[in-house]
Amino acid sequence: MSIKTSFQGLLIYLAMALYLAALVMSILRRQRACQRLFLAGCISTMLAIIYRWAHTGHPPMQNLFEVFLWLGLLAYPASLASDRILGLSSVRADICIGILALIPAGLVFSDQPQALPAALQSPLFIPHVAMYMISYMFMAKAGYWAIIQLTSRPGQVQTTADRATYMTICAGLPFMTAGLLLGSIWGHYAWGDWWGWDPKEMWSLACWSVFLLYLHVRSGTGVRYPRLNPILALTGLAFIVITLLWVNLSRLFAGLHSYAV
Amino acid sequence: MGPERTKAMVNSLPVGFYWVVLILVLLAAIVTIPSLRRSGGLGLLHLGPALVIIGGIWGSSAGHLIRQYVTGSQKVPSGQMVLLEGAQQDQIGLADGRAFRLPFAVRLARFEIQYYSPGFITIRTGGAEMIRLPAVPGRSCSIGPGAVRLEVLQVFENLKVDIGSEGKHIYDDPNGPSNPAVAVRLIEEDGSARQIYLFARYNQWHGTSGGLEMAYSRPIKDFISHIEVLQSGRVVTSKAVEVNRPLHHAGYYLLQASYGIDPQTGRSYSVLSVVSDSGLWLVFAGYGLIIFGMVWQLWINRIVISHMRNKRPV
Repeated sequence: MSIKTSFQGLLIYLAMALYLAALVMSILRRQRACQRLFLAGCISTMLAIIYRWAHTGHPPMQNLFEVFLWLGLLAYPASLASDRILGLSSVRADICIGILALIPAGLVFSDQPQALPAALQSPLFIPHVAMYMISYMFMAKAGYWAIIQLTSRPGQVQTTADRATYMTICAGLPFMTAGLLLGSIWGHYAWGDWWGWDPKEMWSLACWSVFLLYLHVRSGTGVRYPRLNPILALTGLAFIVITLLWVNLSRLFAGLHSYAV
Repeated sequence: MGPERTKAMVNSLPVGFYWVVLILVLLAAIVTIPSLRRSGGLGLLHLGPALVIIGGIWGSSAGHLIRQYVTGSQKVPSGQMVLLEGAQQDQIGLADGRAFRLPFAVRLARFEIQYYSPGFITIRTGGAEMIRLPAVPGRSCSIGPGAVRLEVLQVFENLKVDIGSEGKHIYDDPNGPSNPAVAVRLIEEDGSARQIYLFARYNQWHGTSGGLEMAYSRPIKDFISHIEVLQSGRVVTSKAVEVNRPLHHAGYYLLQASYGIDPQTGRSYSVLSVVSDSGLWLVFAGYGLIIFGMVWQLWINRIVISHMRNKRPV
């Protein structure tokens, strides 16, 4: 447990409170207030990121504290993009994802600034991490739709949830692919190996493969097996959680990405 | 399973056979499944991985061996070169312990380590209290149950000691090998004070004093080898090689891997990885096809067209 009393910490807690208030407003069906509070929470998170960036002097994408801060920020723009471009509205789930992302940043991981190691001083640092953060946000949203699909009875809701899961994965997978490939190109310039078989690389490839399997199965079987597609989408999300948390935190997976803790 | 064992496994003969089969399956899918040919995005998404695997095989140890046997090519997949400052070398050490002569020589003109400023003094007490104090002259802190006060007096880039008839003369020498250090004053509860030196090179807890342990560290920002590439004794190219900025020459990438200090001479040495570029452009071309195919198939065909037709998918 790491309670933060700094200005940055207060901005994170304010963002959590605003997200919580937005959720309450959504439950009370006051959508306008909900959207404004959701946006205010996003701005508060953005201020925490700007403060962090200025304080550390490098892009705050180095460790899990900073990664979860970004995920907390991305909840709102991802929700907006889903609504406006994909036509999928899941604002309550999006707010919950934002709160869930800010809890580790605000209460679990240390905000002790760290010097940026030489390997991370690359022009590919920001695009590689940013692509992954955006994809993780979309895949978390796909996970929500997959749960709806899995728990609903055959009918309109299940069909709607199936298409929503599919469209959200379609939106997120190119970001994940870009993150994976940019990481590989970076690996070549940093370590001389475009693929080093490092545990983080293996798990990232496994995540990508699960979502590719989802697309193949859905395209091959359609809705013949209504539970198979959402189970695959949730498996992909579980692999993301393993890649992001277990592979970084466990000593079992010693590798070149150990600085990500 | 560590990366080295995994790498050995995926480069083994049975797994090599699997890679070849995978290439054939991907190419056969493009030829035999009409939808992969009709949809350009799907076709690229299957051609891309095939190119990546072909590039991977071409650049692997087996790929180099096969080309050596078939075409007589004298190229190795990778090795390491250790260079002392001012020295020249044209051989690399291979993973199996053999040496290999490159078609060019490399001279390390200068080796440079850049540090983040300021460094830090870490102070540990018997009660496991840990304090990090920026090594900036004038900064101070109180520590431990006896409330010892520590003041930073001076920061040295290269501390030198001259011992003469008038005693010790300690000064900062801008020339010569680097010996970063910091001078601190410890003021005890009874007011008595003494001065000690902490050295960054000796990153042990060496400043032990009355139950306190201290260390001076400077986080490394970058390490840079200023190298010159020579062919027939003539400098053909030069570059400051650092992490993420390798030198590409004659089919090899020269990357900054590691560094150290020769204990005998006190001179810095740099370790460069020398990696073959064989197959690399096939791999990167495959990446281009994958990302282009993915954007085409999933964003343009699925999302953008659906959005433009104003058919809300749900």
